[in-house]
Order: sequence, then C-alpha cells, then structure tokens
Amino acid sequence: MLRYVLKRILWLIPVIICVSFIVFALMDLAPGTIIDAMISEATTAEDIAALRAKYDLDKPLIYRYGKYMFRLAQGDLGLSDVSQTSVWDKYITRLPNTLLLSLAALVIGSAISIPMGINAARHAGKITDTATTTFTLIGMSMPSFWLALLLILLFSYYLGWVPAGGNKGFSAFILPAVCSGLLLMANSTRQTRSSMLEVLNSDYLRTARAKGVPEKVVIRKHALGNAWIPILTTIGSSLGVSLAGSAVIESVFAWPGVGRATVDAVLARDVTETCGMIIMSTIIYVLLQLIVDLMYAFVDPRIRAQYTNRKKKRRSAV
Amino acid sequence: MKKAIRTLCLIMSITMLLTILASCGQKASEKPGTETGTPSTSSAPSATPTPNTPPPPPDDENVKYAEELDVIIDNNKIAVINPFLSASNTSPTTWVFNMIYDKLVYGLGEGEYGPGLATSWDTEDYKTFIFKLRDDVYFHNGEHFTADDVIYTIEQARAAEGAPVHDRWADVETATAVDPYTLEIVLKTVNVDFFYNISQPQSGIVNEKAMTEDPENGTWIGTGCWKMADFAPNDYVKLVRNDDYWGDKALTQRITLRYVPEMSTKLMQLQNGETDVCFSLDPVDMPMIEADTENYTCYKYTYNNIDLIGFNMEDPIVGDWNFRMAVMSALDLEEITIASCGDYGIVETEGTVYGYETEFRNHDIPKVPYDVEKAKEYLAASPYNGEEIEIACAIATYIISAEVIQEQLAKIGLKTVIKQMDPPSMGAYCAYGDNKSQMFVHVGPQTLSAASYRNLYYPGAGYNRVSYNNPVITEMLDRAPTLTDLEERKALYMEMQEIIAQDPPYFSMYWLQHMAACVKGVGGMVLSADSYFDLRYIYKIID
Repeated sequence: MLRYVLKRILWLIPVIICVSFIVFALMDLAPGTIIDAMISEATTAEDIAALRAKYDLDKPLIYRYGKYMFRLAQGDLGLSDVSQTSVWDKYITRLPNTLLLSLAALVIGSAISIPMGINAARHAGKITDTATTTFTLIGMSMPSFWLALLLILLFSYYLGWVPAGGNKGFSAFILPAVCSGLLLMANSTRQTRSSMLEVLNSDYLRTARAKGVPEKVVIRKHALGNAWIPILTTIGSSLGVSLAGSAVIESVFAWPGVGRATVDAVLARDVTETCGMIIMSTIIYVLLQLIVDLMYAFVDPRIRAQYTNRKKKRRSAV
Repeated sequence: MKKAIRTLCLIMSITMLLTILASCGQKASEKPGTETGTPSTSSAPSATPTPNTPPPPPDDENVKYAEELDVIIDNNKIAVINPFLSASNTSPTTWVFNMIYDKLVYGLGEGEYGPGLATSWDTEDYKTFIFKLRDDVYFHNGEHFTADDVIYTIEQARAAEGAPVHDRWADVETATAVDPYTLEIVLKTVNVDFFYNISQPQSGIVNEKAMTEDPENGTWIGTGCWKMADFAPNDYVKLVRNDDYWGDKALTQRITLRYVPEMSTKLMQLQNGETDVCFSLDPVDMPMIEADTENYTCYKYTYNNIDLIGFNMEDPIVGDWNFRMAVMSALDLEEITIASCGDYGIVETEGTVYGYETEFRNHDIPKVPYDVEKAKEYLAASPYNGEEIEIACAIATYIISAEVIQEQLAKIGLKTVIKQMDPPSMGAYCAYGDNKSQMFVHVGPQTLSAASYRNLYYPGAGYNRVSYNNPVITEMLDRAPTLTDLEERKALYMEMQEIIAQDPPYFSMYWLQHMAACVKGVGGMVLSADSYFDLRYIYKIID
C-alpha cells in the first residue's frame, strides 16, 4: 500500500511539469501580456520597454519557463507579477474559503444525493424515480450562475434570510454552500441511482432477502457496500473540481476563493500566479484522487484483499 | 404511467413558474416607483469636483453619523496597495491612496494648487522649487514626517519603472533636504505639469522606516486621514479613521471597500441594505434605482475617458483619409449612443477627440456631419474594394457599439467583421509598432490635465493604439510642458486639436454616464471626471 502511495505521489512530478508547461505555453499564446493590463495614461514607450525587460518578455518562452521551473524545483511558487507578493501566501489565504465551500458542498450534496439515489433505485420506474431523475436532470442542466442568481433572488432579495454575497460570517456562507451542494448533488444522485440499480437485482441480494435479512440491512450493508465505488469516484471528482475553485459561484457570491483568484490572474496575464494556482490545484486534485483510490480498499474487501495478497506474495518470494 | 407523466408535468410547470416569477418579479414593494424603463425624474445631485475641500456635512450639531460604511467599488479591482507597482493603475486603488496618503500639494482646478504636506512653495525659474513642509504630521506608525520621507518617496518612484508614480516624479533631477521641513527640488527641465503630477493620488508620501521594516506592506503606512486595517487583493480593503490626523478628521470611523464581480449581486446587495454605496451599476438597472428617490440618492458622473473608434493609420485601407471620412460620415452617433448606453449616454457633438473635462478642450471644432450620401462619395474615393474590414472590441458596451456601427456601415456598402477579445488582448492587438488592427472601438483614457493628450498621439505611447505619428504634433507635444505662460500653452493645445481634427485617427462617439447609488443619508464624496475619487469625508447620516 505504502509503495502504491509513494508511486502515485512521485507521479505528481511529471504531471506538474506537463501542467506548468501547458499553462506557460497557453498564456504565451494568448494575445496580450501583463504589460497590456498595466498600461495607464501615464505609461510611456520607455516604461513599456522597461516592463518588457522586467518580466523577461523580451526573452523566449523556454527561458522564462526554465527560470520558473528552477524556482519551483526549490519549492518556490514565486512572486505574483502583478502584486509582487508570494503566490503561495495568496493561495494559502484563499484555500480555506474554497476548502470550506467544497466540504460544505460535499456534506450537503452527499446528504441529499445518496438517500435520494437509493430511494430512486429502490422504486425504479415509479413516480419517485421519475421525479428524482427529472429533478437531477434539471440540476445538471441548469447553469451554475443561473442557479446562484435564483437562490440569491429567493433567499436574499425576497425572503431576506441571508446576505447576497461577500464573506461576512456564517450567514454569507450559506448560499454559496447550498448552491455548490445542489450542483454536486445532481451528479452524484444519478450516479448513486445507477450504481444501486446494478446491484439491487443481483442474486446475492435475492439470497439475502430469501434468508430473511431485513430490507434495511440488505440495502445498507449488501447493496450499498457494492455500489460505493462509482459513487465515491463521482463525489471524488466533483470535490476535486470544486477544490480547484468554482470561479462562477465564487464570482456570483463575491466569495474570495481560489477559483476567482485564478481567473483574476489569467485576466491580468499574471503567468507566475496563474501557474502557481493551477499547480496547487493539480496537486490537490491528484492527492484527492489518491485518497479516493485508497478509500476503494476501505469500502471494498476485494480490493483490500488484492493489496494484502501482493504483500503476502512478496513475503513468500523473499 | 399516465399518472406519473401528469405528476411530472405538474412538477415541471411549478418549477418553471417559480423560475419565471423569481426572475421577472420585483420585491413586494417596499421599493416604490421602480418601473423599469421609466425616464429618470429624480434631481440627482451631480458630483462637483472640488479637490481637497470636503463637501460640507449638514450644519446641525444634532446630526449623527454612521460609524461604519460599506462601499461596493466600480468594475475595477484593487490588486495592490502599493503606488510603486504597475498594478496600482486602477481607479479604486487611487481612492484608497487618496484616503491613506497625503500629497505635497492638492489640485484646486484650473491650474491652481493648494497646500497639503507642503504649506508653501517658491520658484523663480520653474525648475528649482523650495517647499516648506508641515512640522506637525505623523505617519500611521507614529514616525514624524520630514523632508527625508519625500526624498525617499521620490527615490522609490524613480526606481518603479512602469508604475504610474514613476512618471509623476520622473522630471526630478535632485531632491535635497535643506532642513527637516524645507525641501529643494530641482527638475531636469521646465515642466509645468510637475505640480499636477505631484498632486495625483499615486504621489502620496510614504515612510522610509515602514517600507524598510516591512517591504511587502510598508506602503500601507501614510499620513492620510484613514489607516489601513485589512486587505484581501481583488476582494476588499478595510480602513479605519486616523484619529491623530493633522487636518479635518473623517466623519466615519470604519469603511470597507469591496469588489463584487457580478452586476446582479451588486444590485441586490444595495437593495437588501448590505451596502451603503454602489458604484457602476449596470445601466439597465440604473433607471430603477434612480427613480426610487425615497430610498436612494444617486450621484451621476461622467469619466474623462473617450469612448472612440480608432483607425490604424498604418493600414493601407483604413489609414486612408477618404476611408476614415467615409466611416465618420456614415455613423449616426445618436443611434449608437442609445444602443450602447440607454438613457445614460451623452452624444459627442464636437469634433475634437479630447477628455470630457480635460483642460484646454477646443469647443469650436465641428463634428463630421452624418451624411450617408457624402459617406458613399468618400468611400468611392478610398482604396476600399469590397474587402471585409475588421472592427476589434473588448468590453460589452463597445461590442454593442460595434454591432450598430457594422449595420450603419453596411448602408454605404462597407463590409465589416467584428473581432471580440479581452482588454489585455486588445492592448497587444493595437500595440504601437506591431499594430494588427484595422478599426477598433475602445477607450482613450484622459485625465484632467492636458498632458494626458500626449498618450493618445505621441509615437510609442501606451494608448497610441492607432500608430499615429505626425512629426508636427510630436514636436508640439514635446514643447507643451515647457510653456510656463498659461495662455500660450492653452493656444498650443487648441491648435493641436485643430490639426488632429483635420487628420482624424480617432472618432469620439459618446460619453457614458455612471452612477454612484447610495442609500439615503450618504454624502461627502468627491467624484471627479478622472476617476480618482475622494472618499475621505464620506458620511452617512442616521436618524
């Protein structure tokens, strides 16, 4: 197991190299540079030349990339081109907000989607199932910014229960969390339903029922136990995406998260900050997927057995 | 199954109905008179630029002011609180600079300057200036303000290439402290814009000790009537009143300036009472708020920046004089203005391409008249041969303008294609020396000083996006700052505008009016056309 974890962590190195190069190349290919976002009415031709030299824009891409990677290899994400402050500090300042939002979304989303998906699967083809499927379809089709605006309109403007945006305490956190949770819910409800449908008609469940095992136990222990893997995969991926920051939701609710910071950096053509933010999001995504993989072993004894067998084989070979 | 389908239809109908109700409805009317599209009937007080003079609060001892104010800033972000960085070029960043720093002098309008940190000044040759400084000023960290801090600020500014502050102090040859409260500044050459430059928000004086001790946040320390409390880049700035300020103290104790990216959220935060002031509302929402005089006071303002069409002068077709005249004659500016700004646009009626309130504007240059037949004649005389001409544009308002322009030009047989991009891409696309554009709809930033005219027409300047290079104008632009005689200088700028109007590389279209929507009782803001707003003495009267 440890070997597997180490191997996956080591895989991060080529992933980071690829991701950073793609970001660098894309930012270079995009028209405009950081200087175009900085020009003011006082900027002269001499200023522009000086800025080009300052940001190495008069040098080839590979030079700038090499310089960046050299710093990155020493664990330094560099200074933002715009604010000249540490990218790491900026990321770390924003991460708790995104983390909070993502975890809340996970809790809200899972708390609704798993029971709802199970219920829909148990009553497949009936009204409950149709209603759930329709509801989740609407949830998946609805653009996040639209849902966010509707929630603001209803709960903030009409009812006045919570603020429309900002980062002023718990009440301001409710709407973005609910919005992210609902979006996550739609996806995972459908996944839960289809996973449960696959296992509900299995022979071993029929046997369990025939043996008089109570239905609740059949569902919770035997059915859900086997349906966990695809559900975990879906929730893991959705969580990974939201940990990278949902720029749309963060923008609508004026929530100071990682996603908004990344978009701001791209719009300002701040290559160092964009690269730093995306690298950090990549690392988190990869680690999260690793955790999900490890959880497979936790929920599925067959996978756990594979790890144990390999260990035994290695011992016996020695 | 039928029952299921019926139930499903019912659920979907209810959902759709709720959605439609939620999006189209208005809040049960505690907000009266908010019919959309109703022409504005309120008598909104207009912003009067009276620099360094806080608008007088009500003359009543019993008036109580709110301790805390929340302000949603305009559509630009505050990325840094550091005048020595290039990113300090956004308008709300200058609002913060106005609050936390003091300048040596303050502009009073029409070329007049009043005392700031300098109590008096003297010069004999417009090259050497002796400033007498205040001796009762302290920085927010408790350090005493002296001439050395000014010298340190100048040194930092000169090292900050690319930052707006660099050019504010670029003309200084030497700065010497005669004594702690007397400063001698010698300029490289005579520059009558020097006082204008040092009265700008970016020219605030910083403290050497603060900057040395904390290189990252040392620039938060100034001598202004507000102190920095907290800052999240691109998100919010929190300020607290400086109770030890040497001048008039602020009327509010705490203020938060916030950036809200989404227009609808801005509006709802204002309507919910989550904010006290909201700048740059969506023009679509402005009539509704302005009509609600019971709940809001709206201050309208117009930026100096020119909303214009530019022509790449190096392009073989667009650079042709007949072609440009054809375009200008074919455009119905009223239609473009209404489409782009709704009720909040002022159609350009003059022929000069110059800041709205910039000094020395020439009002006698006639606009190229709208004449479709004449436009066709000009087009026939141009090298245009049925090609598709590109119109580049970057922001929503200009995209709408470009669409109307496209339709109007089609009437004279001129085919165009719109190329949309984001603002940094636009800058690169129209860069001097590597100009890939043909026509574009964009902004021409101008301050209140005529000196900013240079940046539109001087070869290589940041906003010379038309690649304009007229040696006569270049020479005149070089001569302008050396003219100490006000009338002579004014005449030169008037003449420049006439010459450029004969050779028009730009065409000014309209002025978009903006609005600061405030809840009742808010006042004390100075909203000047250069967007460097002064919120030092903002207040909100409470019952």
